[in-house]
Amino acid sequence: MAETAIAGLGMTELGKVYGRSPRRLAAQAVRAAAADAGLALTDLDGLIVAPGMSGSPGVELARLLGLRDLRLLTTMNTFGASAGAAVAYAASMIAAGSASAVACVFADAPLRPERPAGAAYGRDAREWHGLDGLRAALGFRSVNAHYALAARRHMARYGTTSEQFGAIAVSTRAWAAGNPLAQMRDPISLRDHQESRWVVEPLHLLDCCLVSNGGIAVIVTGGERARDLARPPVYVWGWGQGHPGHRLERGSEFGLTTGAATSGPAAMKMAGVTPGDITQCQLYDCYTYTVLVSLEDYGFCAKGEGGPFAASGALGPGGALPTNTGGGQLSAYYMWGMTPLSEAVIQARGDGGARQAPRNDLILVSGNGGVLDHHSTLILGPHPKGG
Amino acid sequence: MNFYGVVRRDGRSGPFFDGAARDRLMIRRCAPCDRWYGPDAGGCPECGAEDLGWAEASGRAVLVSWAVAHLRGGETAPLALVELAEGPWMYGRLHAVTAPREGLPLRARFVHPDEGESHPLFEEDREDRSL
Ligand SMILES: [Zn+2]
Repeated sequence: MAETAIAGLGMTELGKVYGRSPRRLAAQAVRAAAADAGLALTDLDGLIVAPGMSGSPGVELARLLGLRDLRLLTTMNTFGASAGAAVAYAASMIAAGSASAVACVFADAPLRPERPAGAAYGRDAREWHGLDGLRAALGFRSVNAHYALAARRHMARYGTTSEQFGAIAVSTRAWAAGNPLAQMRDPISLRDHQESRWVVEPLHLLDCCLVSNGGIAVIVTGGERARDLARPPVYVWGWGQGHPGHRLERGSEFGLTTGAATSGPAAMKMAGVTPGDITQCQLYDCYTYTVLVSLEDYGFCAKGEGGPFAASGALGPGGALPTNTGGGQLSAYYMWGMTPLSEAVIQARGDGGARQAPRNDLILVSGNGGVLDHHSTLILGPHPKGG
Repeated sequence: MNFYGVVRRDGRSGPFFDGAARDRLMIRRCAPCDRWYGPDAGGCPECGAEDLGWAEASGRAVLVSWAVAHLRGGETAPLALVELAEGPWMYGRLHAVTAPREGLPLRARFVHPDEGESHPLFEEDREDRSL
């Protein structure tokens, strides 16, 4: 497989950014990413658009940007796994000679000034319809309930505790303190985590990610091309996807094992590395639990040992496996799979400033979509593969 | 009206709610495959059948996982993922379960609100079925 790299990163303002549609945010992110790479928009010959909650920027984004004669244009959607999958697709197409400079973009604007953040992803009504409505009436008002069931199953099976989830909230916030772009930067303690209100038990508020508006884009090119561009290349060493297709029936591994268990080994095999070679992780952290179960499935610890591993301090500043060094989705910004991907690019370039982790040689990036239905993995690094 | 709102049937759920009105748990079954599915299954992945029939389940289940939703207005909702005796999993709500655990035996009981459709809850099944 020919060498490929991420050559540009573009981010809009993130968080409470109102008055701009996802398409406009996406356009702004692509422009910023191209400029970051030192490319003109006319240099792009590919565009992959990943939608969020509030309507897709759509392939119409190409027209808004005035892109002409594209050789690759599509939307891709496996929810939180889209960003990693988009980079992998871009890299494959570039390696095949079918494109040379591909922008991958995600943008979303679920937050509105007049309503609470929780309302963006939840529902409420006086009257409900059908079986789906019955489920909502019973109390399944958002995806929080489903992740709470997943987390509880892990706790019941392996003895994982809320305090162990809390260790992830605390270490992630400690990293966020060093990220000027993070929405939540004040340090928190385990006690703050335990005393934060319940969302759906066993998930406290501080187990749950933020909600953000904004857009992020990356530019993927061939490795050689990237070396001639404005910023240090971030090489793509490997990728994988895993879609376990757990059925809701007897024998299901729901909550216990995720798509990371197949996505991770595929990506690491392609990169020619093992978990012991990975020097930092940027993991999809829609919930603290998601980080914990992903660490197990990737093989950073044994199945069921994610709790003690998280509580060991390994993930935080000074730990053996720096994880979510920008504050992740829990504390920085919630741009679905672009949150871990953007931080990986920043770390690989050594641009992390106060939060730069000491070793950035091999960074594992995860994406997770649906209720643990979809998973993507990227292995990225500042050095050419085999170089 | 009960405290969590009124539930109405739609075009796909009539037999489920008709069953609930008579204290029966109706789920889906693919007869040719002899496989059971949850009430909202859209088809049989085994044989590709698109129209699954309805069949009465025993109402017996075991607890797979549980959670407590804290809803706006301070209401709490004890949520459950249960494994029906026939094999499918179903999302539901617990009734008076004080010590939830994996594998806890449950049985469906039915709520008949003044307004809107009847529906099941799951309560602890204390009957000794080992004999
Ligand atoms: Zn069948």
